Amino acid sequence: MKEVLTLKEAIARSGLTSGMRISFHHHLRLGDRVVGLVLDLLQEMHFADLTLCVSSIMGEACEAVLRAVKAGVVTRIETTGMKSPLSEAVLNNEVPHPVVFRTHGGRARAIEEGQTPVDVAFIAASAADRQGNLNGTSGPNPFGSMGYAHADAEYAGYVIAITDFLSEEPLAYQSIKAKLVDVLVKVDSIGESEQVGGGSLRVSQNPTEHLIAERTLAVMQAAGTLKPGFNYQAGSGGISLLVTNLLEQYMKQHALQGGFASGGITGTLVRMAKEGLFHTLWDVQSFDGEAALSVAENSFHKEMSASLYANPNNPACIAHQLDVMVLSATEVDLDFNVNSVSGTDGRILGALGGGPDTAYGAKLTIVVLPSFRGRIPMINKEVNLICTPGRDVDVVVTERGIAVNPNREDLLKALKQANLKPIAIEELMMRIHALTGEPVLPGKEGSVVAVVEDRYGKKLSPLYSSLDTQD
Amino acid sequence: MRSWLYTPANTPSRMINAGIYGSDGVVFDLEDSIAPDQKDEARFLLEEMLGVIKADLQRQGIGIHIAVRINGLDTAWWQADLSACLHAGVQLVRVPKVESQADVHRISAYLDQLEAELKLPQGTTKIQALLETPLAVEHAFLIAASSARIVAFSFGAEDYCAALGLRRKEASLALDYPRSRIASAAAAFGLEAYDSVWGFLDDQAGLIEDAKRSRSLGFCGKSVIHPNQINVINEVFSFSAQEIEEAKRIVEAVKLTSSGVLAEQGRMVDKPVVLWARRVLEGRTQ
Repeated sequence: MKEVLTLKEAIARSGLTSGMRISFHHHLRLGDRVVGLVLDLLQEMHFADLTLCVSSIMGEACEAVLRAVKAGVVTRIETTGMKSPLSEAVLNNEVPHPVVFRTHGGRARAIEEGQTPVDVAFIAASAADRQGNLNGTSGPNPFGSMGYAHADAEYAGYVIAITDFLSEEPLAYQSIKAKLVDVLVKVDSIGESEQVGGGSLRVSQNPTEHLIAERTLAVMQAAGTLKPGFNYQAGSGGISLLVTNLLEQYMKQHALQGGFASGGITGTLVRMAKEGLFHTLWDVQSFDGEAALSVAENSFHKEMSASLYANPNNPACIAHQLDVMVLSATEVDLDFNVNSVSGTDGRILGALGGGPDTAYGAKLTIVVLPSFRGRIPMINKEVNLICTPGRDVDVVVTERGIAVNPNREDLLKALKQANLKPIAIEELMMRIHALTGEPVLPGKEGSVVAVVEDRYGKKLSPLYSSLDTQD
Repeated sequence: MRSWLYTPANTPSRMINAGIYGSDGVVFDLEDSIAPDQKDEARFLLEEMLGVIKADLQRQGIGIHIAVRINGLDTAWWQADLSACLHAGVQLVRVPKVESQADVHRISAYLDQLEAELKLPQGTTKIQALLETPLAVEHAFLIAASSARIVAFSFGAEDYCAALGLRRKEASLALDYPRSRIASAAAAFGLEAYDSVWGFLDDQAGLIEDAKRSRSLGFCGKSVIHPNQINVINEVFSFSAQEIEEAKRIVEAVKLTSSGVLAEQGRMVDKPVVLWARRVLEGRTQ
């Protein structure tokens, strides 16, 4: 039997002291209340100078982290992404040390290798049994896979599991085993599972995004990717989700059966697997309620750790077995470098996620984005922040043209043969800038407020303070 | 032309992308989608943006027809609309609620005047007449005959149904008559005929059924109100691969015979069938 403590008792028991590193996962996405619960208590308990190592920061967690930053409880942040208002605070130099942006695979690697030793992991679970086994699929607030928390559970010095559902029976489905958990904490609520599907998971009605999705499917066809057994992943943006919907129709029409689909798993992918369109779903994060329940119910639906998903040092890495990856972006440059964290204006808008991991691993990486948002062009001479190096990107699809990386002559030929009329990325940029004008790029002279690491932990690209560059 | 996408002329973000979705034409709308207090603004925007839109489409290699739906003759705005159109280089206007020859003569006279002022060749500006009332339907032949500026008819089923006290979705039978009459009058003068929009965006099956019905009654295309309707409409109003193959066989067979009539795969092929085959190969559904 695992001891059930209050959160305060568990923190006291953990040996946590100021200056240490704590971790969280973000599977509850916009519905997460655990981050706020813990950080507010740490402030009450007068902790300071903590490093926050989190798989991503969304919704109310952003406000909670900002409160902790302002109180000096948290002074360092390591994440794959963040949103407002925390993102503005970062740009305004309010976080004492530069934020480190890591990919999902890079985070798992960093924890496993000891680059980022986690002292105390706070792991939200939708259910725990008395022995300390955890899952994200039972209880009143299921969120599905606990993929990002596996490395934390395995490698953290002390593991505090936080749940709002304590099962007297052993859990039939166990994501994290009791032997990895030190104590259990029962709280009234870990959050709201209805908000798991929030964030970047809207199904778009935007006709421009539909057009880009149609072209993306056409690129996959032309490239010869859509063959029996092909392995597929799409990111969390609206266009990527539309591509999956179109792919479902295509696969049905052509009686095509794929191999696996991976990454963030949606109800659409669950339906496709049930219909035999994919053999296996490898789920690091369940993107909606249907997927959250399916992971425990369907044998084709496998929960995977972030390490299995995308750790570059993991020989079984799923991301390296992808045939095609559809990747969203906030910005692309003439060298095909992709920015998925900040906008052309320097504001932090998105996340690294597993994009750089999957782009590296996939045989065909398709970046999808509209030509411009508002009046801000999305293809420019240089990106503000390099998140995915251009060498890992094969083709960029927009509503105003398709550009193929010159190092993929085979793909260029295939798209020409399919009459998809690929153009040089310089021509694509010119078409866009003719409408929007050339953007004024943020300066690069101010203090560094964030750094993007590559998958192996090497510094790839810095982000500069907006305070230092604005007039 | 198979598909015409309506786009409000007061929304730059929609206007700039209107031509990229694959429709054969775009109709920038100054009429129903623009509130009365925004007419001036929309007209100004149209004048400012049209050059930018055309240049953007040209850069993308997209050839598309552009029309503007002006306000009706019963409003205070139609003359200003026409003036803005001609100043912006528009050569095709869609005129709503045309009911008679007199309506066409009135518009034509004003166009004559504007073209003279702008030193444009007389008759440059063409008209798509939007027939939306029972009276317009009854006058379709006369309207078609009234001016060389008329190049097409467009049917407005919503207003027509309203005039008969019918709801659109329950009026499929009642719409057969005006559709047939409009398509026939258009064909008599070599005009194209475009069917009314299908306003039920979530009912794709209804859209397909409605479009197939209008094609079977002689229309060559349809207006649409959302880009997501374009692919379906283009498909319905295109010849199938089977039809094209059949047309090729017929035209080839005709080349090999000196007789006016021949048999092809058990079917008598005479002049009308040959005409049909030639139209198929020209890509004309009407």
